[in-house]
Amino acid sequence: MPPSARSCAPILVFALPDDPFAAALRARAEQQGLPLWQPADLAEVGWAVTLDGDGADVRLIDRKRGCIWPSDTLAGIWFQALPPLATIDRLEERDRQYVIAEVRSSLIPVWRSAACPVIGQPRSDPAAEVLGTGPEARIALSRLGLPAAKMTVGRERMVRQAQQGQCVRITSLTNGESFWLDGFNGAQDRPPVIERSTAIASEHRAVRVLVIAGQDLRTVDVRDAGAVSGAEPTAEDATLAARIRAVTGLELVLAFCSRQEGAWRITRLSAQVPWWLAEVPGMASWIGSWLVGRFVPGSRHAAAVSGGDG
Amino acid sequence: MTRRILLVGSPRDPTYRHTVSMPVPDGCDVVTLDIDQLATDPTICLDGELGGAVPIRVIDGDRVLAFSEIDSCYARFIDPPPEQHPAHDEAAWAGLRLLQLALAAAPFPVINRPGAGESNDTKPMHTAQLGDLGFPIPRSCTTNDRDEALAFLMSCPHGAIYKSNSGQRSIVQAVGPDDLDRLILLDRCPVLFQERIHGTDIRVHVIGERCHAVAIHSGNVDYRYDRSGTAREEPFPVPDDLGERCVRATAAFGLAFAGIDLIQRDDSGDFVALEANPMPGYHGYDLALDGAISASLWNYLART
Repeated sequence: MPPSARSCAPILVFALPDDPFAAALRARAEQQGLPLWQPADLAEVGWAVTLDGDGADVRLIDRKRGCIWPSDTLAGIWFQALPPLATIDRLEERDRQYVIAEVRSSLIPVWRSAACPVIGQPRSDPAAEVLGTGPEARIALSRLGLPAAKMTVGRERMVRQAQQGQCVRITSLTNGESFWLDGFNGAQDRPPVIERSTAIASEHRAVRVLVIAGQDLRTVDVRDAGAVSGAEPTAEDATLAARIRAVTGLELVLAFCSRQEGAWRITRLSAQVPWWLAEVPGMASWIGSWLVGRFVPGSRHAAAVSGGDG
Repeated sequence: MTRRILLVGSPRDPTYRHTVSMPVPDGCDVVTLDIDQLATDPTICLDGELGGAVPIRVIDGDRVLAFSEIDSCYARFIDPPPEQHPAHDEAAWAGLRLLQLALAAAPFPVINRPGAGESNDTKPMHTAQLGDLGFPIPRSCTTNDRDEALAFLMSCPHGAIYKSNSGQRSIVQAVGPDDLDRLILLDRCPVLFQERIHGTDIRVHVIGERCHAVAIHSGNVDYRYDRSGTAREEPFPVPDDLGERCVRATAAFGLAFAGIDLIQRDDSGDFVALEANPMPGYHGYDLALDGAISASLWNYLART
């Protein structure tokens, strides 16, 4: 049965079942008595975007409960990741890729046209262009006037840097896999570092992550071996965060930065929050509270944020 | 002064072969780059730091050309041959990606710059953008839900068609009575439905500000797959207002060259826009137009 009152509208969360930030949001919503819908399987969600000359009409369907939600009746949508889709498990790889491409393309108008707030997906072309790990995103950053980190391309130069003892992070241009080249002893796969770092090339591997949530900002330092810790935002951090916010229009965005030529330069922007940031004390509950406050204005968000880890 | 034009493509691609075979304007020096050879032939060499641009040199026989020595480029990227699929040949695939990056940021005009017109890979959004650009568009519904699809189909008194949402090639088909029983399968994969527009298919090729169009008369919903032998193409004079809209749309998608698919409605004569192809396979239409498209393309490359 379609809901009639906005007050009972759920927050729709697309995330993997064990996502720590989704868990934090769930906890915060529960604390405040707010309904939250996080499908365990994508097949639990139906969607329809109908387009005519006057615009788009977006509807979400909770198949498990038999509810239809026109998008203006949802409190909001947060996208962290596509939930698993059990029906594709037994498909051949080519068919699986086809289905995933179709699902992603079909959902884009949901993110772009939904009448409720959508966090975690770009709602404009410029925002879409700057997200991602590829060099294209870095070119787009430069074009939009944001300080993009330089990226080394070309085998000769990378080898030279390695021979000089610099640590170079090499990213595959085809599948996004990456590894560190240490000295000239060959490449070593170091998954923890790969998981936790995003700098392209830095002698000290120091990397700073700006976590921008609306007008709020938190910063995180990533050190050798992937250790993370919260840091006090500097004036430089705040200025860069304001520029990113203004240029991309993204409400929740993470900027991964490396220090180059005396300034922070962006190695990538992401609208998703990586699981390892949950290791920073208070980070998960801060983001959970911010999302609740964004989706349900007037909730007890402000008190929860100032309450710290909660 | 000699204009140096870089052609990038594969001899396996009939459109690329056609382009190479057409007359080149006087005063042009054409350098070809075979993307199938990137793995085995060091045709391109990248070395430097990627910031806002990609440093690249093109090796053409004994010549080594910096990008700064190139005046314009026509590039058609197609999938590598099966033996060069990334799973088999990382080097070839990486070379292709590097070249695409380089052309995306190149300082000279590129037809078409990699990445431009990407919305074509997301048909529902692409259709909406065409609507925003002033074209009538077909009513559409992308869904993975049987009931929503059924409700949409019932609202289409003149029938409906279905096709893929993404850039994956699919054969456009009319929704028939048997398809209604298959709607239950939608929860496994969403589909894009559109109201069926009855009329004549029109393909407009835009190069810069020039338009060349062909009308296609076919009994098939998707004329590309009409094997009846009765389909025919004929030159179609583009009305001024339609041409202006097509030129504007091409520029809005960041393209210099586009193949815009339209249907001229039988009932009202209106032109309904279906999509703007960012890498038009134009050679068949060019033959129907006595080479007018390729002549405009070469002129653009020689003068822009």
